[in-house]
Amino acid sequence: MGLYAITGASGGIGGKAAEMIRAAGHTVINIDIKDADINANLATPEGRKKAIEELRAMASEGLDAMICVAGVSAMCGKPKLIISVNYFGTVELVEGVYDLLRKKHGCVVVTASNTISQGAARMDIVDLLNNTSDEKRILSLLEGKDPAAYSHAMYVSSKYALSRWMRRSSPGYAAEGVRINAIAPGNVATPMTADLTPHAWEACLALPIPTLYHQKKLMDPEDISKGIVFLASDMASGVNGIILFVDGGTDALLNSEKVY
Amino acid sequence: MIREVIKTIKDGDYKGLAALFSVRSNYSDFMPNTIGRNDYHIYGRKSIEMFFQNKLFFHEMVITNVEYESETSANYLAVYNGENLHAQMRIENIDNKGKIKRLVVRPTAGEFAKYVNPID
Repeated sequence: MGLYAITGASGGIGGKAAEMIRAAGHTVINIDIKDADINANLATPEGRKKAIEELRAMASEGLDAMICVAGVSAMCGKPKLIISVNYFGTVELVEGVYDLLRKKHGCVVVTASNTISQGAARMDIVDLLNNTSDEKRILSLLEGKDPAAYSHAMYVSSKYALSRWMRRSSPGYAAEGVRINAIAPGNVATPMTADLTPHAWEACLALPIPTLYHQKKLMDPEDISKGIVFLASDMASGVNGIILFVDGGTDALLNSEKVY
Repeated sequence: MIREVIKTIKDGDYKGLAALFSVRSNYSDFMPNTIGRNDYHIYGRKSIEMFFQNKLFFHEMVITNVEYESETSANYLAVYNGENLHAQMRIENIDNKGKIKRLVVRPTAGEFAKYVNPID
């Protein structure tokens, strides 16, 4: 059976995906900040290096999939952390184990967000992320910036840049037998969303989820995990370079004219 | 009827607005295209409700200076993404229960026309 590496599988969406993949008879290596097979802080270059080295040791014969779910939301209020984990924590990890994926014609699934279509990305930051990949310089731009003003924009920018990196990489990866795709979740119920203020809750519901019409709730993490497991499976053998929105239709509601 | 539509939008009452539409209905808004964005084409009462829940909560559809032209049309100043635009809203189709089947918002030359010298 297969060998799958998942970042952020200690709980939530990653944890559910790991459960489903194990239930199908595969082995999962969990990479997370704690309580994982590989404990590593993906926010730092040293943490990423540790994760890559340990994963290479555990998967020397190759990997069937590298699934990157680990990330931080805008609610953490730390713009630099958001950029480091969400963008560099994913890109460096995937590129660090690319040759393991080639060995087994494995695949990659990265986690974007349905916010990428809502217009809040800072395209100057996105361009710097994609075209320079200079983490130190980019983070220096955020020094001293008001977290309240920048966290959401940096979250969306990190996910936008990640999506574009995925699309740019996809033809070359696939030509060497490695499919790569992204999942773009909508608003998901998490322990954090259980503690929202009434106004924040109304703001969440003001991004309506058509499949949950009038139910006043957010998406189940399992809905997102199913999308990840599909993209990482043979059922998606012809799928490469796409961003799969798993948001109950929110993007189609607000951006119906963006067909392509 | 157009007065009810405008009132619900100004009150932020997305449920009241949706209730004015028939189940199978359409809202088309060609204003965003004038500022380089995609138009809105929303099909169905429930979609219209959800769409306006989003737009009205985040104040992305602000209407001021309304002039009523008839029972089914009005022109006003609208704010789209921070830009002030002159728009005309028309109820183009009503079903046999008096519910809106098609509501359309289009750009209008409106007051600008009076400053253009007539060609004689």
